[in-house]
Amino acid sequence: MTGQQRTSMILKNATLHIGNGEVFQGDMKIEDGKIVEIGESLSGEELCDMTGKDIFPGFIDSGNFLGTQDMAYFAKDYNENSSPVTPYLDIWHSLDPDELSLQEFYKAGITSTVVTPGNEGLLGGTCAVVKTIGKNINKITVRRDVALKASFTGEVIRVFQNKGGPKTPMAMAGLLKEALSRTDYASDYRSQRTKEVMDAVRTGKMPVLAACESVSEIERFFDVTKSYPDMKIIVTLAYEADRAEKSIKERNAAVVLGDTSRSSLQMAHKTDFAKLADMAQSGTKFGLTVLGTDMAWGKEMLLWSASKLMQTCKNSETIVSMLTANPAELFGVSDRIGMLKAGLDADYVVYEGNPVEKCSARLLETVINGETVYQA
Amino acid sequence: MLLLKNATIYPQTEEEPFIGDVLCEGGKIKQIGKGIEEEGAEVLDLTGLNLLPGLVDSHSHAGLGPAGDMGGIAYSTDASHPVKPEMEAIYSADPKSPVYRYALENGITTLGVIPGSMDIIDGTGFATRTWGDNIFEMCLKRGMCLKLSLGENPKGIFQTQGMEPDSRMGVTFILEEYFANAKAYMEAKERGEEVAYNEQYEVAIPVFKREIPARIHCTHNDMASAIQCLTKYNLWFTIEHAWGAGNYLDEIAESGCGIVFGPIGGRRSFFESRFVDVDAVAKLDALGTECCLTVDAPLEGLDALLSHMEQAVREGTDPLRVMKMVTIHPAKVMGLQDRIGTVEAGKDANFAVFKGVPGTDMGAHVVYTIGEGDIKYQKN
Repeated sequence: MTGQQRTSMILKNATLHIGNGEVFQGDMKIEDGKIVEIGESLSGEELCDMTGKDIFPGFIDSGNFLGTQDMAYFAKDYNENSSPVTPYLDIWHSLDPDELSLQEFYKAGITSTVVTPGNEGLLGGTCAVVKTIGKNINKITVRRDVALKASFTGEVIRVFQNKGGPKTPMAMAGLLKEALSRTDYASDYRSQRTKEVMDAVRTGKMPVLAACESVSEIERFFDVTKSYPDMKIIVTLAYEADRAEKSIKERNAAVVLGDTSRSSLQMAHKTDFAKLADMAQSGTKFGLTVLGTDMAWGKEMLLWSASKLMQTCKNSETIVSMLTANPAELFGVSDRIGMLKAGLDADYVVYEGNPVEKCSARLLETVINGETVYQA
Repeated sequence: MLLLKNATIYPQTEEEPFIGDVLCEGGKIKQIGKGIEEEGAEVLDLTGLNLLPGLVDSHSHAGLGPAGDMGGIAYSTDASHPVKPEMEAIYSADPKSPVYRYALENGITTLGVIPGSMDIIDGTGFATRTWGDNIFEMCLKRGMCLKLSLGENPKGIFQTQGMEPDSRMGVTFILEEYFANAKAYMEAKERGEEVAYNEQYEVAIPVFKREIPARIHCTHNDMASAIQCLTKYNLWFTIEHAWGAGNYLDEIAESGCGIVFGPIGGRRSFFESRFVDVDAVAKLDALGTECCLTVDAPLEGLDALLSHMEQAVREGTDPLRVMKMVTIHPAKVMGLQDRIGTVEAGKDANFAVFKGVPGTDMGAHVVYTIGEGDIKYQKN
């Protein structure tokens, strides 16, 4: 960390990848940790020549639990395994900024991450968006309660089969229906917090991030939630989302693709990346994450997924959006991060070359809140 | 006969990439050149595509599981006794495992299949083709290496079974003790002394004679222990996984050992995976150390071998050098450099044909895999 704070500076003549698909050749003005202007021929006192450089919004991981593992003790602070239904919990209280920083996300250009409960709880708790380096959790937090984490995977069964269930997908479906249809909440703190979260989910104010590995799990989840048309669904892991295209489009759901390299998941699920790229190009919003079924993996994996999607994707900006503007929009933080746009946090990465097109593109600098946190 | 036309050939010899043709006959490369014509040969037009030797991952546990198992890992390591050199990984292999078919889908024509790392003296590995029904016929080389392990994995599991070791120092001591005893056994035999046959020590003899490599699982400071133990006997050896190699560049280069780096992409933890310095691959390559990449299948899928090439390049490895790390270098580790690993006349006609340049272009992917002159996989 160089800790270099820029009160005001202008990055000149860069290729600016805005994040929403647009690319702009020009200048970007940074002031007090914020982007204040994007334009041509901006002038000011401190100029920094960026000719030939590509600048992207800092990348965002769309949902994993790195930083919440209490690794020294393998305590797994990301799953509250006393009950499968704990929507009242907030992952923020499990997040250790030191453990998050240890992942060195910023060395892969990742400046923010959506921190989520694990895949073992049916309704595990709410998610938070944080910056990827820092010592003080208050200072790295962008927003809390950005989504409710759900899981329709076998992980729920694995953990709860000997703890009173659910032991089957049908029992999981029953529990979810019950949690969604409940209207009578007592006045105690737990009930009221549950109501707050579930009301937000039912009305679409808070999206639900639903871990579904297979196409069956995705289809089941859509069926159980079909009486709540306002509900915003983001399916994650989603290794077989290519086979659920019709339902995903009909439900207007988004997809946060999990890591498929680890544990031979791509082999097991036969993930069709070409089809996923087609879905993205025809309007389904995608994000990417290093999350796997039973573990979250390393920072490298985001670009590995990007490369697999690039096999057939004709426009690399579609993939850039998955790493930037899409997750910001999906998790309701686009007023803070995800694009190169006036008013947003000065979170950006400077590359020589385009990392979504060439493996040899070199990350030169990662900047969070206008501060250089990594320099090659 | 199969005639591959107009491919951009990356031969992995001293020769630069060039556009040309390759004629295959009897499972071998018969001729390489420009404008080759051959009557009766099946012609495959590879215009605009990139041809590499079939890819090789020399460190995998692929197929070492019960029938029906997806990747195979359950039967890769015995964890019953810290000294098990007599175990041969081939006896745990299931040739019907889908992982071999999956290897072909990812351009991989040869795998080094080795025992896992729960024992300390883990047993011997074998090199195999990635197609076939009978593992003993698929196999290219048995007794390809002696696999050893230091560090986290063998630590502790024996203590619960009433055996040593229970610490890193205990693990390393057992390694030292095995080689010291095996050396004494070999020398006594060479002197013509009457010694009782010992199969465990017999396994070490080709290792002492540098006929096969010792391949040792180690990371970080365990690497220093490994180098010290194995250079003492002037062994041919490779460091497997090699996370943290960047802190031991001089020792590694001086020892003359090879590096099989990977898997990359784990979360950072406080233990062996605390520091996975992919840039060490570029540094060691520059120092003349022969580097290979591995995904440690099925820990990571064999699809990730391409991702590993990409990541090595992303962290400083030359995009042409990285190709050697998944072809000729692992071929050398397995002692098969005369048979596979380059595009040269007389070698097995194994090829991975890519759309895009692997390790350079994001989205590069395999469109054909050719094994001994037959198209084994074709992307539809």
